[in-house]
Amino acid sequence: MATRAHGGTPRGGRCAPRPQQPARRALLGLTLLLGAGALLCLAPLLFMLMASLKPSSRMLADLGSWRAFWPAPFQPHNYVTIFTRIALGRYLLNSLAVALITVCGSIVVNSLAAYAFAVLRFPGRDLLFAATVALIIVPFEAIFLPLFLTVNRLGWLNSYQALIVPFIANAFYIFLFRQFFLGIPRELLEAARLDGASFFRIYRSLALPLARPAIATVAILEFVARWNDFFWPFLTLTDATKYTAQLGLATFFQGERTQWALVMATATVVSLPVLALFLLMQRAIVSGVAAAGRRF
Amino acid sequence: MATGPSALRISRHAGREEAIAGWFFLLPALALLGLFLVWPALQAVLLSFTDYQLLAPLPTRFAGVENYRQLLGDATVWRAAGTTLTFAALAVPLQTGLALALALGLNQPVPGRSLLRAAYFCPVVISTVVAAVIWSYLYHPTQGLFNRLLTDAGLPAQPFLSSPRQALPAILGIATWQNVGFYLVIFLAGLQQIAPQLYEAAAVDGANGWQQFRFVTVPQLRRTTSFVVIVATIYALRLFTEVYVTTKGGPFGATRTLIYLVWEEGVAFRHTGYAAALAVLFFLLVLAITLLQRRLFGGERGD
Repeated sequence: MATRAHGGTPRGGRCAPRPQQPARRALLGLTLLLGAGALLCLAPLLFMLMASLKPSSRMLADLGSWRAFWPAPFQPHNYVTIFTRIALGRYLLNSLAVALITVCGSIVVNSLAAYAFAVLRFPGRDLLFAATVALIIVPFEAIFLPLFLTVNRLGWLNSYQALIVPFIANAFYIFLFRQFFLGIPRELLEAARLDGASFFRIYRSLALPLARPAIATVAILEFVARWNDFFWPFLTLTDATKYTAQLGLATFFQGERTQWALVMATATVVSLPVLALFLLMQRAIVSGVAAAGRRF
Repeated sequence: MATGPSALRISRHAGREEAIAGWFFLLPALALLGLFLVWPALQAVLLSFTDYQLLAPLPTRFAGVENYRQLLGDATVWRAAGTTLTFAALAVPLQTGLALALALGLNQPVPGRSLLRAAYFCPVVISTVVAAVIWSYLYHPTQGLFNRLLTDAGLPAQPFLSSPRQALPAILGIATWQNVGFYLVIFLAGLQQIAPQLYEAAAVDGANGWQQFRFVTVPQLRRTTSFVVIVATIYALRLFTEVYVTTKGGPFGATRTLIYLVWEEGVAFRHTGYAAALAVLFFLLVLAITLLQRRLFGGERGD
């Protein structure tokens, strides 16, 4: 019975390597298939990079042959040209500042709230937490119009505040931080309390350092979200000097469709920070995404 | 240490201190969420019952359900709803299925797993604008990569984004390329949480590969699948940026989605009250589909 389940041959000695053979071949086939899929997935990015390194006219002529993936004639000067053609340096700095400030604010504000929800005891806490979690479902697209009006009334249209302040508090990040704080042993926190440490001090020097993985996850998710956002900056910014990198790219693309190589060079520069961040912090990103799925 | 009454007094005092600290810790987040999420959500509902026009000096009047009545009779709204739902109906099974298949593959002991996973995830981290820009060159009607491949194979060139019939499927291609890696990672995490003993037990019982998938993987992956399907649905229903960058809702309104219409009506045409009604309907649609899917995927509570 048991041998049949293994390989179908009743002779014990030869049955061990036999099922291995097709399994190994199947694994090889699977690897090739997954590898081909991965290459297909990367091909558009490779195309972007290669197209950015040659003259626009060449890029057009090469489209549709394998030469689309080869940078000849090599023209890296495109990367200098784009910085003089549009205020790309300014756009990148705008995006960087907006993303970093939002990330810092987001970590402080959301972890504080999460600590209160996870550790501190006070009346109404659980009800308030349930209400906060319910907010996760409200899609940004359903509220952007009145949010636009609110920001306008605050006099923030065409300002960096409009890109930063509304995104600092985030119900999902509060949820994520809370999960982490719940994992800290209560006795540890109570011992610190008995030693006379204030609530803020316990949060600041005991709980927050332990939540470092959650901080990394929130920082990366929020950085990428702010860096890549197009819709909201597109609505609130009209002054071209305040443009973010995405807005600069979209405007450049729609105005200069023929300067393909320059558009591709801009797209590459705009993508580099997030791609680099992803490759460096892969583990934190993947575990953050996985955590989102698991804790649902 | 202190006996009965005084200990009680200390703890009551400590309790009040703890409550004050709790409210202080919550204050910044609650204030910001209130001002930039709860208030706008309420305001959307209020505005939807008025004739408010963006940045117009005219006084705003209460309009009752006029906006909603008008919406239901507006052919553009119905068409946009149809476009959005069609897109979601195509995108969700395609992206979820592809992501699950890839995750099952990557869950095997293939060499270079983390490298492969990283390759599939790369399109997720770049922006939608960049994705739309790259793909509009690939889809170019005369010189694009895809048309060159088609004509080389002796097939007629396709208009892709410039055809009312092909534009939406073309955008679906962009969105699928960008999102599959995200769902793949979630599925992979779900698969790795399944206890290997379950597969061993199934193998001992003589279950073949398909049966193991059907009776171990599928039920164990239920919560993950439900999460992926809901997220994929919401993403699909929110479609805007790809459309704005590649087709601006065209050709002939073929890719005008609900959110594109909210933007067009609310910001470009300044019919803000009307657009707010549309946004409220959009939210109800998202809510209804989410609740329905939660129910369909079984009665587990999702803490």
